[in-house]
This record gives sequence, structure tokens and C-alpha cells, in this order.
Amino acid sequence: MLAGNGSSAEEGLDDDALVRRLVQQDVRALDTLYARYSRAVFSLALKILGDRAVVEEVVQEVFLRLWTRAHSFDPQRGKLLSWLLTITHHRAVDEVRRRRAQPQIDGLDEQLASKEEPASDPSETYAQIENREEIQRALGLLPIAQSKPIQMAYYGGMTQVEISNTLKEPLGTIKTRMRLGMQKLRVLLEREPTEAGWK
Amino acid sequence: MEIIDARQTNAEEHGDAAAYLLGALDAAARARFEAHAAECVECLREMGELQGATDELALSVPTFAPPAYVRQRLLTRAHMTMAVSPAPSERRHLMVDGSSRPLPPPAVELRKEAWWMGAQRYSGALAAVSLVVAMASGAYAFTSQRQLDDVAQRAEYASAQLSDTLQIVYQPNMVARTLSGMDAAPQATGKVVLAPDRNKAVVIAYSLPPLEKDESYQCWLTQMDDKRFDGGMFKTDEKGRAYWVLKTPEAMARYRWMSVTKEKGKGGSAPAGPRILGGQL
Repeated sequence: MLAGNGSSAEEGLDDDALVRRLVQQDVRALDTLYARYSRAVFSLALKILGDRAVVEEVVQEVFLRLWTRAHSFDPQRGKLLSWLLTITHHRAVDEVRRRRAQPQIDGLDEQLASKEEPASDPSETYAQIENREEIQRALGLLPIAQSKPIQMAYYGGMTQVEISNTLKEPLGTIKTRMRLGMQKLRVLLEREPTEAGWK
Repeated sequence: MEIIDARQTNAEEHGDAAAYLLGALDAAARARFEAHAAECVECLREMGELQGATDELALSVPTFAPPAYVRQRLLTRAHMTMAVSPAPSERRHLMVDGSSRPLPPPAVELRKEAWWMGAQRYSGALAAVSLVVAMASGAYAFTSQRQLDDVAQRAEYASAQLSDTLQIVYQPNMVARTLSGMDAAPQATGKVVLAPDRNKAVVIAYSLPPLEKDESYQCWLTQMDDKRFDGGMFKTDEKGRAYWVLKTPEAMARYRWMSVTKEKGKGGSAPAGPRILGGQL
């Protein structure tokens, strides 16, 4: 579902064509890509950071980076959405770690602790809900020893060392579990789901 | 047959592809892994294999649309960067309703080389700072509408202006715009130094025509929806130069055009006199 008013002429273009237009400083291409992917970028950052004002700034930074560095995007190396989500994740995790590294500020700990899971958005499409539930099911099929470090890292911004210390497990064990968990997740998501689960 | 370098597989970073993609490496470990992966076929392959699963983690969160104003801010900021980038063959200004119109030719053509872009961007700022420093040292007979006769008052005023100026020119997103002389004063010129997300700008003007006793210059800013803002009145020194720190009710990104007119008395709510300077912001 589009979040903005991307130009109708640009809406039919694929990502690679739009990126080429970005290199030519075509703002309409930026607007179209924003309409296409801002929801995913915003949602990921919101999951990690929880602070809407900061997330709004992160979203702008991610798309401004796309705008100013479109020439460095190589479609041979991956999809544009992957690129955007990776930048978003790095930016959000950096912010989480920056906050953790700051001296305690009055009320900051309470603010972080009170980061609530936002209520669902009625504009979310059925396909988006279904896709999300499918991934959650796949995560649920992983052993907890594997899914927990994965989620602590990806959504919690924790490093392997921090996870190792928190779970009181050796670092090598955490590395292995992360690796095996991601490999298994890849296999699960590539399979075709059935009513009972995965084939 | 694929030859795997034993030195690569024995490296501490080998096998960290999953951790890397999950963001679970600190900055130092991330840099080490990137250096390692650049030469390790196995790690590169694993990264390619796991990228899809990583994307799915990102897409598995509850989704929300960002507020509409985030889009407008982004487009405004993108538009601001265009004036200091190489001008493409066709630039268009994206209107708030999503339509677009061709932009007029830029007032200043910038070359592509980074050092030249930097020099162009900072020349206005350096001019502003040097003018402020000279003013603060008393070298210029700058007078404001308030006619500052008291030396201490003037020094304090200059100090405040200098502080404001430095705050603006040291913004990492600071940009400089050119003001050109209009029909009534083709020799006049000026520069505006601003940060798009701030509500202040430094304005300097040169070669302005001399004023009669009952005349002043008045500055105007026009927003994207054609609303006009009165930027205040000023006079020049004996050499036709003027400098001031402009403060606006909204961020500078909201304004698209600045002009200066010559006005009688205390000026007015709309330009009445001849246009002296003008330029796109």
C-alpha cells in the first residue's frame, strides 16, 4: 500500500529504473520509491527504537542517503529493498547502542523500558499480515536457543558479546546458534507452507 | 573446483556472516568481518544465502505508515541538496500536491568536482564570517534601523550577530544561495547562508545603491505557497554593503525566494518600491 503520492508515470517503473532516475536528480523517482518502501523502513525502525520522533528522522536519513548515494547502489549485488532495510537496521541499531552508552539521564531508563509494542495499523493489508504471520511461524519452529539470540540481536540491537553475557553462554556457542538458526530459517521460509505447517 | 584458502577459514571472523547480517557485531568486529569477507568466497556465499531470511525478519514486524509530513520534509530536504549538486538536464520542483513544474535555471552553476563544490558552498559563508569579524572590530560603519550610537551597545550587538552567524555557518547541512541585482540595481549582489532546517540565515549584500535619508531597504521571503514574509528593514554602510542575521517563523526550507526592495519611511506590509536584489533559496 502506498504511503505517499508517487507520480503515476513513475509508479510503473521497476526499482532499477527509478534508481537510475535518482542519479539524474529526479525527485519524482525519490517520491515513488518513498511511497513504495517507506512503510517497511518506518516499521522496522519503530520496532527497534520505539520512539516515533527518532524513527521519523531515521526514515528521512535513509531515503536521503538513497537520494545522495544512488550512484553507489549496484543492482547486481542485491535488491533495493534489502539495501534500504540494511541501512535502516544499521542506523537503528547504532542509535540503540548510542543510547546505551550514554550516562544515565533522568527518566531515560524508564523511557526505554516503557517502549511498548504499538497497536496494529488498520491500513495494514491482509497480505502484509499473512506474510508477517508466516515469518513468525517459521521463527516459532526454531529451537528457542537459536531464535532468542537472533531476535535479541536483530530487534534488540545487542552484539554477540552482550548476548553471550546476558544468556551466560560462551561466545562461540552464541555464534553457532545464530548461524544455525538463520540457516534453518532460510530453509523454512523457502518451503511452501501447508495448513499443518511446512512440508 | 573451488579452492578454499585455509588462512581464510581459520580466521576468527570466518563464519560470522549470520552475525554480520543480524547486526550483532560491534564496529570493530564488523570492520574485521568485512575485510575478511572481501576475500572469502564461503562467507560471501553465506551472506548471499542468508540475506533473504534477514529481509524477512525486517518484514515480519507490524507495519505502520509514517505520518504524511515526513514525506514532505524529505522532499524539501532533497530539493535543498539539488542546488549544490551538478545540475541535471532537467530539474523539477515537486509541489506539495504531488505535481511538478520545471525549475528556472539555477542562479549559480556548480561544477562536479567535490573540492569545487565545497569552495562554492563555503565562499558565501566565509564572506559572511569575514564581514562579521570586521564589523565586530569596528572597521565598518554598519548602522541598523535602531541607530546604535552607544559603543557598548554596538559591540554587544555585533557579538550577538557573530554568534548567530557562526551557529549558522557551522551547520553540517549549511548551503549558500546567490542574490542577483534586479533592473533597478544590476550591479548589486548578495549571498544567503542558511541551514534548511533552521529558522535563521545570514544575508550579506554588496554594491547596493545609496539611500536617501527617508529610505531603507526591506527584505522579503516568499514561501512555496506564495505567502510572503517581511524579513525586516536595513541600511547600508558607506560602501553600499549590508549584513544581517535573518530570523524567520519557520524553517528556511519553507521559503523559496528572497528579494530586497527600496522603501520609503518605515516600509510596508507589501513591497512598494523598486526591486533591488532577488534570488532563489
